[in-house]
Amino acid sequence: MIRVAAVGDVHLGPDLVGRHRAGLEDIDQHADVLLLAGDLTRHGTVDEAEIVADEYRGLPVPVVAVLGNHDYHSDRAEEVTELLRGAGLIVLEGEGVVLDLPQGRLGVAGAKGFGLGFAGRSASDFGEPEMKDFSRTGRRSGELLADALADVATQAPDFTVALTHYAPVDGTLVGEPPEIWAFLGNYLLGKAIDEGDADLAVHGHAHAGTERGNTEAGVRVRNVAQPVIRAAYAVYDVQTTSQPGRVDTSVQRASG
Amino acid sequence: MTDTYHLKDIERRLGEEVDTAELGVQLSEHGRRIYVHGAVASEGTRRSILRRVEELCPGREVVDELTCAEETLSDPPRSSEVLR
Repeated sequence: MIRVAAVGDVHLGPDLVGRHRAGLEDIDQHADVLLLAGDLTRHGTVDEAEIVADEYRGLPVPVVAVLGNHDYHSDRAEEVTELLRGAGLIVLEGEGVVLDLPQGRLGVAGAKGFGLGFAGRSASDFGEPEMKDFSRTGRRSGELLADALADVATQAPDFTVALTHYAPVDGTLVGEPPEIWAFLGNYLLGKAIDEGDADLAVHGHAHAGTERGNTEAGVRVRNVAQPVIRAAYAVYDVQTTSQPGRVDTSVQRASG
Repeated sequence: MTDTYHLKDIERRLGEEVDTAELGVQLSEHGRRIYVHGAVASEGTRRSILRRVEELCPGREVVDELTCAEETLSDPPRSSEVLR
């Protein structure tokens, strides 16, 4: 069994130094890995990134992260990423990692994602350049997640998690105004998850959304935005002990 | 500018201004009171938002209906669910 902890949208700043860390000191009693689903900062500044790096440095479990839209706000995403990597975090954008944990091999495919909307109500690659930029960025984000899942698949993990900031399905957006769903999620992320054989998807971004959803093919999706889970993290206990060559994807979740 | 447009303009400012930077705050007016809804990251941000709304809505009573993530940021996981 692999215990996967996940949270997003912690939005750390100078007034929250040490506040998340206080809930993470004993994380190894609850989980084997921590996934961070973006929006780790408020403005994406280097100063805030240093706070984030200190918050997660030296935890007793591996930490895998994607960035969120807030982490890009100051146009310093590369520096933010390098600071987090310097603190030992694995930061993914269109790539994957397989962690050889004592409990099994956990694959994590990560991409921030982007808006676009959902089938039948999504932006189209038509019209003004600005509209095409929006649409193409959304489509590209789906390709990045597909690339990440393909990267992970080559390493034959026991269980694969798709980690994004933006939502891959609209089911976890219920509670948010429908008028802004196109800015919160992207159906091509869900398509990549289904076609890339992910076992679980976790995302953030939708603070007023719903915790549970699933893709068209039935992959479970969990919105782990901190205002939704209202705890330091949620935990998914992943069973990986069935027949050889087949993973029992039963998931046991603990959260607040 | 009508009250509705004014409130939407304030919501936009709360998302874009450095001291607040919260995209999910909504304002509504009921009986000359301005209600402030949404989830914010910290108590400091909550104070900044309420102060800004008061500045931009002089003479109106501002009602705090915000929730604050800081209150639960350190809380341990405390319930479990099995999905099969």
